[in-house]
Amino acid sequence: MMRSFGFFLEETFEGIKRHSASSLVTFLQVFISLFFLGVCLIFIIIINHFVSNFLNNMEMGAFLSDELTYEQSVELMDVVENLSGVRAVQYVSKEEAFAIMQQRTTVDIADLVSENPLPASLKITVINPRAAEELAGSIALLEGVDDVAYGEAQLQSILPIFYGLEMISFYLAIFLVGATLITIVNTIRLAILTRAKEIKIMQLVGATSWFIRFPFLLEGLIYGIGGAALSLGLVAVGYSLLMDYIQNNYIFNPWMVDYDQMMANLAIMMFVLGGLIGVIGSLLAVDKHLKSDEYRPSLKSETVTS
Amino acid sequence: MPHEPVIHFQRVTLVYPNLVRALEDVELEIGEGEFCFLVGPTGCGKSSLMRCVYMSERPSKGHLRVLGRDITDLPPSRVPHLRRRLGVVFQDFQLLGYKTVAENVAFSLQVIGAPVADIRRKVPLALRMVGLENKAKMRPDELSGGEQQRVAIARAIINAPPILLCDEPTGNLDPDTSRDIVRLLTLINQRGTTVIMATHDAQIVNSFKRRVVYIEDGRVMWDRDQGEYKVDDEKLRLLS
Repeated sequence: MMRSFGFFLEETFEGIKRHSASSLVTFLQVFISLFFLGVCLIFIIIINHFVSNFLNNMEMGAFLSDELTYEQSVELMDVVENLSGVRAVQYVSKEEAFAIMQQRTTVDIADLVSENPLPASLKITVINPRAAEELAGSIALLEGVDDVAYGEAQLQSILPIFYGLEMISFYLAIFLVGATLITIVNTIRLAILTRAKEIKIMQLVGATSWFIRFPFLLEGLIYGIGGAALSLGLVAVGYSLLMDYIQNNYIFNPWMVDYDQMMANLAIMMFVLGGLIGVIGSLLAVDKHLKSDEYRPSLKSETVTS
Repeated sequence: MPHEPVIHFQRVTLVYPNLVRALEDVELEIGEGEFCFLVGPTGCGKSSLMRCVYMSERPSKGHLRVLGRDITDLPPSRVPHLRRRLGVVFQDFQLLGYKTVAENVAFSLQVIGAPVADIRRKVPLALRMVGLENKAKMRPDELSGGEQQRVAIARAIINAPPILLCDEPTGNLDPDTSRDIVRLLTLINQRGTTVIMATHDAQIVNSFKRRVVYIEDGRVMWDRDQGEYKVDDEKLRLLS
């Protein structure tokens, strides 16, 4: 097989050149399919980014008893840190809590109260928001903890939406990959029809099926990678323009993913998917053609007895 | 039968998916080194018989042995290896128009993964055998019909197959060129290759005096050494 690699390359490029019109149409089809896949992938990445950002940064507060000394609070912090499901713990003193509250309002709170009513607390970042209720229960049982709050009501309502969004984007991605694959299989099948004579000759002189498939697989890979590169470039320009617009018009936007991070993710997905779809598409298309000309079983004796 | 059979049809029946019965209970042996004409009217089953030998159709009934191997139940994955030991020539030449004569001939070695040195050595020999050594760089459309058929023959014999199957190789050629092509086939036969040629050209068959197998309605009607093939006037008119 390796000895013939030069022949495969030559045949592949020769084939693309010779059937330049059908090759161009195939390439454009692959490119357009991958472009739509790329645009949808951007939305899927944004949804995933937003959801995971929210879920990974979910926090709960454990309010501490005023009787607890600082040393006892630090000991308690160690205990909480070692609980499973806890990503990080930060101690917030009574004074810090007061300062944070003061920052959130223009009214001078010190004028309204004679002493600081806010308790010291532990700010806990949770690994899995689904297990938040269980974790809150075990923290509440610890000595020195008066109350635990994590916005349970809001979480109960927002979690199903986020998980729903994640599921939808997952199935959308599968659907798009499937649709792109079907488009590419059909386009390459048409391209193969223009080379039916070559395939017939190859079969007649004893080329194995893999030998016949290989130049088409290379061709599919070229279409897939080339289409992915071109659509990635176009999507990158579009995303950059969208980011510029959003940055110029909105101060805060939690939906947008950093450009470099987005392009890195997208490039990996597009090249891997483009290459795989190209190769698998060609394989399915060639096999369908080869199967139609296979040394198949003919009608058996029971059918042919006169 | 003077030689060991390289092709042996044992009560072979072939029925196509559309239920057309192409071959009916065919019993035929072709020995090593023989030259055999398959004759009969158009649609009688000559091509179907050939297609069974080069494994394009699998017999529906009976057994077919090619080069000592029963191919009736041969798995598709083994077909390419056996096909390398068969040369096939068609009426319509089946050449690749974008390749030169030499490239067309080399193609059949390239696609079976032959070493480049082998290809370089064998292509000029095959072209010399068919008398086209000076036209190696021309493209098929620059050649006459007879020359194109010679290219197809060179491609078929380059791998030195023990069997050469020719399905109406002179069907598109004028009488003189047809005679030249059959002369070339007899030359190849003299070097030890078994040649089976399907034709309905009575003049060719009768002038070369070889074994003749007459097929009609998918059955072998008669089989004679140095046989004569007579086509009655009505059939000749229909054929023309």
